[in-house]
Amino acid sequence: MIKNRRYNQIFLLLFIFLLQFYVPSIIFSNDLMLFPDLLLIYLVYISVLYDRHYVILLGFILGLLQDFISQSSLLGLFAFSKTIAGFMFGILSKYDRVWRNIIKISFLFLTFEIHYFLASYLMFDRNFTPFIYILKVSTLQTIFMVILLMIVNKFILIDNKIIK
Amino acid sequence: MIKYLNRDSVVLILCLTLSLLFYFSSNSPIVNSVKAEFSDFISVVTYPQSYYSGLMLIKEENLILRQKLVRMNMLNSELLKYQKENFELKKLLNFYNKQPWSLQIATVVNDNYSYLMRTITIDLGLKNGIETNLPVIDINGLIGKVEVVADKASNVQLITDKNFIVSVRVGNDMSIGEFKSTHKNLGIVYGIRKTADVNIGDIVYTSGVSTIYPHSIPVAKVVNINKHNDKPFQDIEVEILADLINFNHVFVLL
Repeated sequence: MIKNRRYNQIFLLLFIFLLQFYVPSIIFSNDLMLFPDLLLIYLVYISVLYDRHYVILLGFILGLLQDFISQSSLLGLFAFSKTIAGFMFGILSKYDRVWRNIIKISFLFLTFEIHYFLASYLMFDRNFTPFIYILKVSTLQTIFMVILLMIVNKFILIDNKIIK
Repeated sequence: MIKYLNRDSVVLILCLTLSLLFYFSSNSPIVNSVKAEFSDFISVVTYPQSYYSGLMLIKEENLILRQKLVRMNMLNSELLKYQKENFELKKLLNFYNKQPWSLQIATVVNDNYSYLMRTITIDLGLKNGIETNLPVIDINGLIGKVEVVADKASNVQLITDKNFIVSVRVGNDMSIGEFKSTHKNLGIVYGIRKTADVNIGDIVYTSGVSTIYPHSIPVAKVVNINKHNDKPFQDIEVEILADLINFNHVFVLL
């Protein structure tokens, strides 16, 4: 039973990985582009099922893979931000039964914001990119991702819902 | 619970360290800008510590600088002394080259002022060809004559000595008289007739009548003339030209 569950997870992960390649980004303007980070949503989902150290480790591995795929010049960028996200998702899992949905959503918002802020901060050159732009991009991306997570939670996740 | 918490922390720290290692190992300009910002942040955080250590350093530096200042001041005063000496020696050399007499330069090593005798000691003696009664001058004029000679040093009787008398000429008609010192750097010329044409400011020279002094050595300058007396001669008050306060170097006429 446990073996089957693991296989399912591996298949699911591979599927999400492939899907991530083909999911298009949403371009708002020349300097604003939002992309659906399915790996991050998967990490939130995994946090409900497994212990925190697994989530942290998985966050690191997924982030590193994402670095290899998206940009190899800044290796460790997503690995760093997704490790922190994994740690924070672990807190969410820990208080799953204690927190109300609104607190959970707020916490997820905070976690996404931290994740994207760190990623943007480490991605853009501050000599050319103002700090306020980094904040704007990370916030918009966070809002987008929270909405996407809510959609996934509502329509795709049947069992093990993140927000019950 | 603690065991799990520790495992979480260990995994977190390990993953963060690895990811940061990967990130900062890159040579990208973006990473460099992040490094620069971290450096700025660290410099702000460590500012109080660096400020206080700077203060301590300044204190030590201040002490060293103070010592250095004292040394420099001493050196400076020494250099000033050398500059003055150099200036004086240049003047002496210039004077020496211009004179028709055969001169020998001497350094004053001692001076002796008593009630009656006023002498100085110079560093030339018999070994240098010095004899008694040789005239001694400085760059301004007559200063005295050699009185006692030893092997390596000699005593010079100063012009201000009470026993010092020298035959002089003064005025437009170069009347002959006798100079004798009175007090301080003043003296009187005796034996000049009232008809002699003497003016204030005239220079008094040695006459050359004496066997000791050659003629035309400047001795003094006329500062006052008194013809209203009951004598056939006028009283001429003079000021000695030689510098009798700061003895450094003098010349012996050979």
